[in-house]
Amino acid sequence: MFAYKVVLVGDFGTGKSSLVRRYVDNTFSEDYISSIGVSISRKQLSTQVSNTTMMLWDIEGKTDFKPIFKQYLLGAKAFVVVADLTREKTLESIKEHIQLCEDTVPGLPICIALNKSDIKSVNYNPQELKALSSNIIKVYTTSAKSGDTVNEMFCALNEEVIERNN
Amino acid sequence: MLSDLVLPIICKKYNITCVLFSRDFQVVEYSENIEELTSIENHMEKDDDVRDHFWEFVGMENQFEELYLGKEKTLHVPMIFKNNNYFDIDIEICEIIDNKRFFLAMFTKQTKFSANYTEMIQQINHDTLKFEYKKEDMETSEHYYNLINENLISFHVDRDGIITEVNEACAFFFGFVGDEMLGHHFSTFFTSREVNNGFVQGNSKILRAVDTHGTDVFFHADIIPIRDKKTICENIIICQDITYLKRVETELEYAVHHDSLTGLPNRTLLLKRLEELLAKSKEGDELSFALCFIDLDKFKGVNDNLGHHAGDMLLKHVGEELSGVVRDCDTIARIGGDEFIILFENLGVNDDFLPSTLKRIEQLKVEKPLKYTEDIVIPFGFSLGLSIYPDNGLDIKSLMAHADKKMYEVKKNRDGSR
Repeated sequence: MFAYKVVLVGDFGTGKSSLVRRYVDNTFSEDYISSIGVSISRKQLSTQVSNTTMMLWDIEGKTDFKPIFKQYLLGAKAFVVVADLTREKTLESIKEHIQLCEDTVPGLPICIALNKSDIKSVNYNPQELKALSSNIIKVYTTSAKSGDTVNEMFCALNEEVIERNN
Repeated sequence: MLSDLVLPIICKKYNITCVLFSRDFQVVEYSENIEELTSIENHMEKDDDVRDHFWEFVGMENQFEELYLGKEKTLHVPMIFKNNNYFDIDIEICEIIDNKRFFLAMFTKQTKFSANYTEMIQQINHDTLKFEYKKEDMETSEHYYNLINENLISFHVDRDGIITEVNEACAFFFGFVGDEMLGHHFSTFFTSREVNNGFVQGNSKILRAVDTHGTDVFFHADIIPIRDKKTICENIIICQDITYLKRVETELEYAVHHDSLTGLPNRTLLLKRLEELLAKSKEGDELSFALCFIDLDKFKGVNDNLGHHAGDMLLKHVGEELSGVVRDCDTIARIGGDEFIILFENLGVNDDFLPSTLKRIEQLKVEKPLKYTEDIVIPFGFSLGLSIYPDNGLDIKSLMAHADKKMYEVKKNRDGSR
């Protein structure tokens, strides 16, 4: 079975862990516990083409006093850059996160998850975000709380990875 | 095999779990406490694919290959969260059994100190997020900076490494109350093997400093650039105390090269010293050294009749007595059950040292039995075989084979051995 690594990258508090929990366990908690280091979850996927195992690396988000540790990104087959639709600052950081991903492992597929779509959001332009890199396969507005487009995003990423690695 | 590489006692003391696996990721051996890391329903067995149990290794295949080929010395993955604990992973290559090479992955469980650190960072992030939702300006929030200030040592340096700002924790560490550190180069207070004049942004470094009690303290330093109109003008350095990790490193280094029972050098260290001697010889130094194989006689009988504790005490005793006979420059290694090797270095021509020392070693059999208890005295005997460089061989293999052969000739001729 083809097993591969996907890393979720973004500022702290954007909902990376919540997206993973929603996708892997279909659960959600309102409590915010900031992730430290990395925790790895596994999701087994079956498509018409193949069976795969996605290893999801939920890494510590970037803060003003702690950058993202590059070592966590090595060996990935895809990235999900997560931002919080309610905090403009996290949307501004997307470019920097994409740059880090592309510098560490060039040419990989990237999904952008604009999370917390269930809450009132700041203004953003999806086209502008998509134009940040040719490696971005799609910009999704997600809600780990309601589950909105979470599965859809990871499934699309899985299909892209399978296609590129066949 | 694994216990030859990493002492079980060190593993226990420092919360280290080890897995040994092959180039094709098959599990060879693992330490007893492996269940702390694996799931109960997915019990680890020999020959399993290590990636079925350690998901973090999926995707690291290229890094492992570079390590195997010697392009990298170690792999390090910090702060992996598993089974409600944080672990640092260090992976190295080790050579055992017929020069076969394996990966040794060491998982170090984080101590209470790190748990406190983790909680502190979580609290800072939690409060910061709360402030962000309140739309407060975090860059000027006194509360935000105080959260960091009270808990982490940090300082600012300009492009030339001159300190421009320190936080309270940093000044307190060095026993200052004001701005005494400002204007000085950071190397006045911190030393580092990796950093010379200035810091490189985005990297982590190890810094060392002496506190007001004169204690050496090691820090893991995160280096974060501060941008001013897209120009990097300063770096902020945030330090986390990792002194305990450096102590673990020192003890592990010792454990890798020493026998856990006797504390004597092990086969690995002996071979390393032999290789160094032969390399010196190839460079033109005229050297003579000797290898002396020692195999205890009837050792199995001690274990069978008096128990393994008595056997262990006898091995320690023999090691101590041998150490009393040789010089500081010689190496006594325990290389297996009841086998020792002494490497005698710096032998001179027509030197009486070697024959007289061998005679004193032979005398130990008669003069130094082990007084195990008040009632039990355990005598010991051994067979001895010698090879001398360059007379009996020019490489390690032939020197070892010669000494081994001589030792078994003595053993064979000795009545009642084994």
